[in-house]
Amino acid sequence: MGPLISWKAFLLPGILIFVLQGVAQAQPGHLPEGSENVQQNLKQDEVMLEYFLTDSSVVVNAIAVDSTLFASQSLNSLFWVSLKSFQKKLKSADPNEFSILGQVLYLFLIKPVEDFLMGKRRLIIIPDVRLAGLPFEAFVLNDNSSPPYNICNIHYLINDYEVVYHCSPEFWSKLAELKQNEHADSPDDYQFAFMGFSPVFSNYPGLSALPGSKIEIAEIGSLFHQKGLSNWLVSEQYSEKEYFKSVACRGKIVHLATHYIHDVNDPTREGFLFWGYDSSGKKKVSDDGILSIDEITKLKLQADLLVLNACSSGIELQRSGDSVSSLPCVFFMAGAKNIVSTLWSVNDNLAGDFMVSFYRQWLSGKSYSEALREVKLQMIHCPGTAMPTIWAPYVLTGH
Amino acid sequence: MKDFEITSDWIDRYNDDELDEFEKSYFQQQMLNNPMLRAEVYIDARLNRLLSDEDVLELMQKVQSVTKKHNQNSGMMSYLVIAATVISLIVLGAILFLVEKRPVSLPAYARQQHIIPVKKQTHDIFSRNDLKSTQPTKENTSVNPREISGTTLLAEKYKPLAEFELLVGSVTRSTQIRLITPAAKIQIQAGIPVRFSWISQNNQHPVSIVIMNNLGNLIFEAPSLHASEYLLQTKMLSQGLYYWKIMDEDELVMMGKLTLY
Repeated sequence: MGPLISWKAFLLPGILIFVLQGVAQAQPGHLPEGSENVQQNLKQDEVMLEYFLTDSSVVVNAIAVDSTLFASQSLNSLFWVSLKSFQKKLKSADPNEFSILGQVLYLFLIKPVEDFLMGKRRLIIIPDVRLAGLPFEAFVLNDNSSPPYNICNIHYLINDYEVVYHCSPEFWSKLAELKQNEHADSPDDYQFAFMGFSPVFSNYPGLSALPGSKIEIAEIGSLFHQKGLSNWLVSEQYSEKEYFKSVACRGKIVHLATHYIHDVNDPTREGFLFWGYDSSGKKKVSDDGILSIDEITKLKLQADLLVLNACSSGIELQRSGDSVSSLPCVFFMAGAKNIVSTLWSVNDNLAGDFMVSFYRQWLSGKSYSEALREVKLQMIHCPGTAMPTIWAPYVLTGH
Repeated sequence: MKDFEITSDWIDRYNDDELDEFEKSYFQQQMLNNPMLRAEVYIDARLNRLLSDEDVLELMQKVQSVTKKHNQNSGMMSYLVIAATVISLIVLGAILFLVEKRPVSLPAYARQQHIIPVKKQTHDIFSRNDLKSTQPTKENTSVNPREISGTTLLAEKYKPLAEFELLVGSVTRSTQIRLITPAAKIQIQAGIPVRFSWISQNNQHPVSIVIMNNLGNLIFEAPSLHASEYLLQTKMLSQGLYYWKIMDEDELVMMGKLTLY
């Protein structure tokens, strides 16, 4: 039997006092230049939250279709420690204390605009670079889990809202306008409703094979087939970079289930990994198998949705003097309209399960963000997948 | 093109429309590339608008007069806040003290967040193969009294942790480390060492090995390993179910199970 009252019940008011030492200030927003475009493209139930951080404060510019709010909140060491620890615990599958850290982040980053969000359903987050890689949907409103403890009882931000991310308000507006024009002008002219690529890397020297990725695209292809939608699946040695580059423009949904190579020392060695060996098992001289950032910028995609089901595929790029700040932004430049990416390393088997559930939801008529939220809620309700390590890395950047 | 140094007075001059065309164009270009500068300009413009509004000025005067009255009482208020905070801390401390005393077995997330202190490891030369070996000390394997009380059945120590079970045995889609040994699920007699070996794509990335018990609590950690092998001694671990994690810096690469009988 556990204690009658959790010590957290006493700790949280203390944290609240600590947070509120730097009292949040909110006032009706001065509409920044360019925000009119954002408002024109927002729907009634949407709010855009743009974050600016300094060492000592956070400013949130909240824009809804008919109102704006400018809120500021002082930051202190509690915030910075919580931010770092929260991300670390999620990435490392450490179940200890993430809930309390998630509550602290909620108090600092969402509480100042909480009233403004009432009645809304969908949050469009434009994070400051220092908040990049932070899954807002895993912020915790309440931990009703003790005693007796049940991890499924934690109340996350995703319980209340769909969460979508974007690179900047201006970019978001431009893409929204483009999308509206597309709807007006042309019907879908994609050759395939779904294109899946999974190099798998069975017997590939020096790399862990990803057997789950092959099952993943096969199951997704089957879902599309059942709905009478065309699909094109490419696996193992057929999943070569040059082939991907030549055919990816034909898919409405392009799905990559592979490794992502991170190499901060050599940007040319950073990118998505495709099959790079010839039929005799020798490494190809002409093709290293890595779809690099530079190559991505030269792609001409038309995909309405691009899924990057690899490790940390939604990360910030450490490239000084470059206007592009993250992988999803690079793919936007290449023509993709919506991108599902990951914020940290995803488990091969569970990554497949997650995406199969996602497409099942989407094929039932939900939007991408609704489908993503629905899968996350399903996972939260199941003890085996309730840890945010499993469901929180998936984020949608787009509309 | 000549580079200007943007100083804080530029923001005022921009909002007051005092910049010449060339400066204005340059400043707007800077704003496009700098969200913080944009934010400052918005705030400054907002303040200017507020300060030029007569109604607001009138309101501010009213607020100031109210504030003066309030300030007369604020000294007393601050004493009350300090007193309340001190009392809260005492109550919190007392509660924590009482909770610490109770021998309670809790499931993973209901833990009182008592992480067993991890001692900085010392590397010893284990064998001619130069395997680095560290064994958990008695201190860091001694079980939290809240987790396993005297009455807890041995079976409790073999109960799987639902939150970890689905993560066991499957690698992440990270290219940094390829694990060679051990197998994802191993059952061995307590005392037999477990050999971890891996291939690292980038030797600059240190690898960590973490052992957690079946309540999800940290039992042992071997951080920042730059070798490609590690021998985990299990002599000092009691019988039960453990989960091991191999990590690339902070990120999980693979999780497995270790059952000691």
